[in-house]
Formats: sequence, C-alpha cells, structure tokens
Amino acid sequence: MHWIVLTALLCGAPASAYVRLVTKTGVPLFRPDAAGIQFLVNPSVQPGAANAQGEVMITPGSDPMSALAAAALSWNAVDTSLARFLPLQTASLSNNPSDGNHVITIEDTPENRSVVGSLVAVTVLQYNLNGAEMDTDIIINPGAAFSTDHSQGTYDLQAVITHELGHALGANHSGLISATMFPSTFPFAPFVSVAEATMQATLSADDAAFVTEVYPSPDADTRLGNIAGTVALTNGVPVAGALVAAVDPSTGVSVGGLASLTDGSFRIARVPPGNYLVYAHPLDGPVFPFNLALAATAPPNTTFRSTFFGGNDSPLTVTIGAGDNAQVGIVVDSAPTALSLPFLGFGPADGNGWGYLTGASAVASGGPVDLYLWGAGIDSHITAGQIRLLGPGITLRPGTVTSVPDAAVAGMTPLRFTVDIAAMPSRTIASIAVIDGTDAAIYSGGLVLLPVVPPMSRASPE
Amino acid sequence: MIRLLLFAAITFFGAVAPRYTLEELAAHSEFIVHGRIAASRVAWDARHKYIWTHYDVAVIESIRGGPAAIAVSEPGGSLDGVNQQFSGAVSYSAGEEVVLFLYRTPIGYLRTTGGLQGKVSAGPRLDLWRFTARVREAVAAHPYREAR
Repeated sequence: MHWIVLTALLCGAPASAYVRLVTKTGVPLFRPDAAGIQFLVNPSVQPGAANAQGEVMITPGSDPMSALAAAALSWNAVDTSLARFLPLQTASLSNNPSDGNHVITIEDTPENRSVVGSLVAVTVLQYNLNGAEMDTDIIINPGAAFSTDHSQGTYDLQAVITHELGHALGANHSGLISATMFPSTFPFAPFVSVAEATMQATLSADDAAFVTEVYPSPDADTRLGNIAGTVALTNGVPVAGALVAAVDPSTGVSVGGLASLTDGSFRIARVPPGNYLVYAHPLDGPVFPFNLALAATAPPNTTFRSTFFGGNDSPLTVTIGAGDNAQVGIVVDSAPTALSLPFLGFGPADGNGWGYLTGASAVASGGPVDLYLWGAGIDSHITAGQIRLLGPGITLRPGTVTSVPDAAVAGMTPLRFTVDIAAMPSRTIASIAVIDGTDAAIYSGGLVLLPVVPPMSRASPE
Repeated sequence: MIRLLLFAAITFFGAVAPRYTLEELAAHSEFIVHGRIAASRVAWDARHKYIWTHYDVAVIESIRGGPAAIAVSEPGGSLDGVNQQFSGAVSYSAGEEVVLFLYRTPIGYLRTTGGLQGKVSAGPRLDLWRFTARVREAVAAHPYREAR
C-alpha cells in the first residue's frame, strides 16, 4: 500500500526539465557524492589500445586521459551547479556494478561486448530505491574505434565521455539536437565537419540547466528562472509525455523538458534570464519514446500537433528574469500531425551542392548559406512566412524559398532557402520551425552557428 | 561538391555503430520475427554480475529463423534488492507488437540488432504487415552474416 501511494504521488508530480533518469517507480536518480565524484580509469584506456581481434580501439596518436579530463571539466565548469568531478585517477579495476567504484574501461571481454551491444558506450548505473546512485561504470565499446586526433572512422572520445558522464550524473537523453545528451553522434568521416563529430563535447544550455537543477549552487535560484505549466488538448485532456522546449530567439538559448506522463504538467527549471518562445512537440522524432528510459507508467502521446504557447499563428513570448517563475498553458490540436522534419541540410548559397545530417548541422556564421528541409508535408505549398528561424542573427532571404526535386531523399523533395547569418562571436544554437496552420514541425536546437568556417575532417575523394 | 548522405553514418549512444539500412539490419540479424511481447522476467547473468531482462516474444511470423517463441534480452532490471540501469538499453512492454531484428551476444543472449533500430513498433505511421513485406524482400536479398 505504501508503494502504491508513493508511485501515484511521483507520477502525478510535474516532470522535471530536460529529462532525468528515473527508477521504475519514477524516482529521479541522483549522486550522493556529487560534490566530489571520483572516476577511476582502467589501464585499457590508453593510446594504441587494441581489442581481442587486434583492431585499434584508441588510435596511437590520441591522448585519452586528457580527453577524459576535459569531459569532466566541462561539467565542472557549470558555475550554477555544485557537481564536481575530481581529477581522474588510474586504477587496475574493472567494471563491477557492486564495488562502489566508478570505472571507465574499454576492456574487451565477452561480458562487456554483450552489455555494450552495438552502442558506442554505456553507463551502467546501480542505485537504490531512493534513486541514489551507488555505482556508475562507463564501458566504452571495444568493437568500435575512438580517437582524440579526429582520425577517420573513429568517434571523438571526449564527446562520448562527456555524454556518458551526463548519464552518470543522472541525465537521460535530451530532445534538443545539439545537446550533449542528444542520443546520437557521428564518427569522423568525409563531409562530417569536426564541429559536427565533436558536437557533444560542448555542453548546451539544456545540459547546464539539468546539472544545475539536480545539484544547484546556493545562488542558482537568484541567477536563473523557471518556466512551468501544462500541455493539454483543446478539449482540456492532458497531453502525456510531450517534449517541451523554451527557446530564446535573440540568444539561441534552448532548454527542454518532458511533460508528465500522467497529467501533462511540466517544469523547465534553471533557465537563464531571457525572452522565450515555449512549445510542445511529440516524441515522434528525432527523439522517440524508446530513446528515453521512462518510468513504467502510461505511454506518451506521440500523435498531437506541435504547438507554440499562444498558438502557432501568434506565439507569446515568456519573459524570464533572475528568480522569476512563469506559468504557461500550451493548448495543442489533437488532430494527427501531417508534418515532420527529420532531416536538415545545408550547402553553399549558390545552390551548388548540399548534404544533410540527422543530427545537428554546423554552419559557418558571417555569410549566407542555403538550408534544406526534408519532411512530410514540407513541400512547395510552404511559404517563407511559414518558416521561423529561432536564433540570433539569422534571416531568411526573401524570394529564395524553392522546392528542389533533384535533392529528394527517402522520397521527400526538400525545400531550399537562403539564410544570411551574422558573424557570431561564439558557438550559437538555432532552431527551425515550419508552421502550417495548427500544425508545425520543429528541428529543435539542430542548427549550430559557428564563429569560423568548420573544417572538414578530410577533403572529398574528388 | 555534394556532401555524402549521412543518414548511413549516424550513431547512437543509445544505439549502434553505423546506422543500419533495412538491408544491413537484415544482414546482421540471426533472427527476424514479427511478434508480440508476452511476458518478461529478470535474471542474473552467469557470473551474478549484471541483471538482464528477458522478454518472451510470441511469434506471429518468423521472417528469418524458425522458433514459435523466442526471447529477446536487454541488460538492466531489478532483482534481489539490486537495481541496474544501462543507458541505451531497449525496453519492451507486455502486449507490444513489434518486428524484431536479433543478434546473438558473446554470452549467448539474443539482443536487438543495432540497438534501438532493431525494434520496429506498430504505430500511427507504420503498418507492420506492410513493413514485414519489405523485410522479407531484404532478407531474400541479404543472407545473414555474423558480425565481428
């Protein structure tokens, strides 16, 4: 009886911002040792490490310890959070979920290969019923190849470990495409820029908000604000498990969350002061319900229409000051969405060449670029006025929206348009929304504006 | 210059090495079944180190491999007062209708091929019966080859 009551209370509570790992009963995971987290590095993590087949796991030119340290430091640098990783130590310990040691390893054993499967790496969390993490081991896939020197066909070790350390802190996957906790990454490959292959090595505002919410510094409440509310259909029925995001178009700051699986309530906590557009969209890609280790309650609603607070025709801006708490109610159309936006591409502004990623695309700021959008319902009937660029210094050049049949992908003909991007002093995030009446498709945080031209990891074979 | 189509290069932390096409999924899967999740159970592995959740699948149609019932295993679960969670493990629910692509792990369990990609669920945008027809074509053209 005790457990039934507890479960009901937890499931009825507003879901936290970002997405947190939870126990089966919905209790968020957390680290009791957050103020001083000691990870140990197994000696298998070394330059030139090879697996049982003699294949290189870590390239000889890599500096894995520096990469791991940099990954930890990126989380330590969030000054509104108290979570701190201690300097890494090496130790001849293997992953063992019951020894209370937090180990990073790439040892090639049948057991490790079995639990890692075809993932790049996994974080194994052992925790108690209160959600307290007692043991967190990170197992890097011995069947894959990693580097810190951007070698072709390898994964960036720093980006991978930054992501896994997020899991060790209790973070689930994020629905914001450029976030460290977004569930996918790319190996270094022809036509993948270094910026794209290392995307998750840099924490986003979403990741910083997560670690601040779970492990806040004493002054976090006075420096940041909170947005809370509900997602409901027009008939008042709550929308369970909507992805909710707050985006400040003037800065590109994007923070997301997941609405409650039972009552549609949400809370996006610890957002920097700013002027936010808030929207809800379904878990129908690029993040799906199976990407999230959700509590075993009701399944999320994945068929409603993406909708901005205030309506898609005239979204309302939510102004957040330090210490503010805003309440918003997002009302969404229950009709099934006819729009999707799975792919974003870009190319030179002369229309000569293009490519696309199913993750975040990084483009140089300080000039024009052509953007390409592929998706259901995104065709020649979409006009410039229906495309919203949610980021600073990025404007759609009038008269450039056109359909490009020659660039069809998966049966979808893309829309192409030219955008002019002001020079950015630092890496800046933008989102793209296509509005069609009460329907919308949003590529959340999927465009990264770089201060310099992104170098390709290798020139074209041409 | 045309950038490569990188759909084939994406990788999931919660999933795979190279993202598989349907043909690659077929080629890397020892068993492919259309079925319904009947039940689940948790158990320790042979060394009593990791907890695995084994999902029994009532097979509606075997597309590759012949058993009428099969179990797909994913790491994680709660047993004997111990709770383990693995980032990126695929979860299943009782009653869920799925098409599963399965490969054999080094310790003998069948896991979902390509992480999340090897589980295809029925949904408003996907008719599994039509999808299985495409899978059968892929299976015919791409025999199973054991992954390294």
